[in-house]
Amino acid sequence: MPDGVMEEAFDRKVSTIIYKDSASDDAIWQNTRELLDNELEKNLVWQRIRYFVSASAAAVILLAAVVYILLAPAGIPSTWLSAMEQEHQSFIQGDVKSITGMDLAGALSTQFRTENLLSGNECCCALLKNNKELRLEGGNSKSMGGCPCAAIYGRYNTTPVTFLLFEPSGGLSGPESVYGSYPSPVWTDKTGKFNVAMKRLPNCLIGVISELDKPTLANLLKNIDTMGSDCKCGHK
Amino acid sequence: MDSQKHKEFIGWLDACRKPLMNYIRYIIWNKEQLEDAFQNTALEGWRKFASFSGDEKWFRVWMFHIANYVVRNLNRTHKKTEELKTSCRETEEPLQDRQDEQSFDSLVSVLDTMEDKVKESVLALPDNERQVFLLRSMAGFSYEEIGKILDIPIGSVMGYLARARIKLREKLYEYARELKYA
Repeated sequence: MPDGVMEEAFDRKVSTIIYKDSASDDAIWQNTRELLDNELEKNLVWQRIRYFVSASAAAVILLAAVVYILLAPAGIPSTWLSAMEQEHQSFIQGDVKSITGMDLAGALSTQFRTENLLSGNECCCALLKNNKELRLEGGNSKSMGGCPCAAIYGRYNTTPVTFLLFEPSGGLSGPESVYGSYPSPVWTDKTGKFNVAMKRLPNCLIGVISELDKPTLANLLKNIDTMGSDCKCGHK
Repeated sequence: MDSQKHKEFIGWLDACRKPLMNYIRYIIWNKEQLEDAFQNTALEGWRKFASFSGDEKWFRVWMFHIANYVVRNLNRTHKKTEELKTSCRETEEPLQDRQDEQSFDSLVSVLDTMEDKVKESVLALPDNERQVFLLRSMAGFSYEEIGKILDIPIGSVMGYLARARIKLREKLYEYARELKYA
């Protein structure tokens, strides 16, 4: 029986005989090299595309950040102001149309729209009781002319608030005919963005429009139980 | 993957491509698919090379392992040739190596003169035995490496190799006698 060495010799002999090293093998190898090179090229192209896309995305984000940083302090895009802020600004400037979007219930909004009577600022801000929680910082008021109503723009803490004041003798177009019940409920306009609260005082009806939540508005109104006595426009 | 990886892959594959190509040549049923099999093996290896961690020695084992899968898949799509079918029949009787040392030497000495018969005999071996024999004799793998390439235990490797050697010698003795060489 052949030992291990002989077996290995036999294997080698057979292997040498069957081993083929032809030119066709070299041709196969060359073709394979080309395939592998193409594959590498494809990989590299995809890699470049990925890098390019990533770099572009990063550049766009960076550019957007720079633009934001540069432009934001200038306050250029007025649309960035809160809608509430714009409503107040428009209100002060007498642009009645701007509050139609608030869609106050019924006659209230109708009255604003139809009368279009915001003018002057002779109405004072001292109509409200000086409450600790109520700070009318930089407040302004607009008389509604012949209408027994006034609007006061201010802030409750930091939140913009608009107070609407109505004389009880508003006649048919006045709010009392609409909001005669007491205490008046708290409404929300249709957009759900602003809350509207109404309260009847002994000498007028007061309304509040704000983004404040309903309980806060209700609490705010609770602390207003009388009108100021020094209203220059004659509201008592 | 970058160019440096590609260069390394090409270098290692180039170093083992000849035994790999010869191995594929003897295990693929449709000989016309040799190029396809080799290229598929190379491409498969390249695509997985990013996840390969090992030295050049294990790269050879890894590539032969891939070649086995590639060829197995290609073989599934083709029927064995009739010639290979008939010659691959299993021996029913237990194999015994009946040749003595002198006759073995004489057989080895005449193998060069019967090249076709040697190739035919190798091709006639059953798949497992042929694979193990080729991996051992032509590619010089250890038993452990062959086991990893074929996913079989070392004991099976040794068993297949012993049977392959005995069958080859029997067959070649037979041819030698027919050709009056022995």
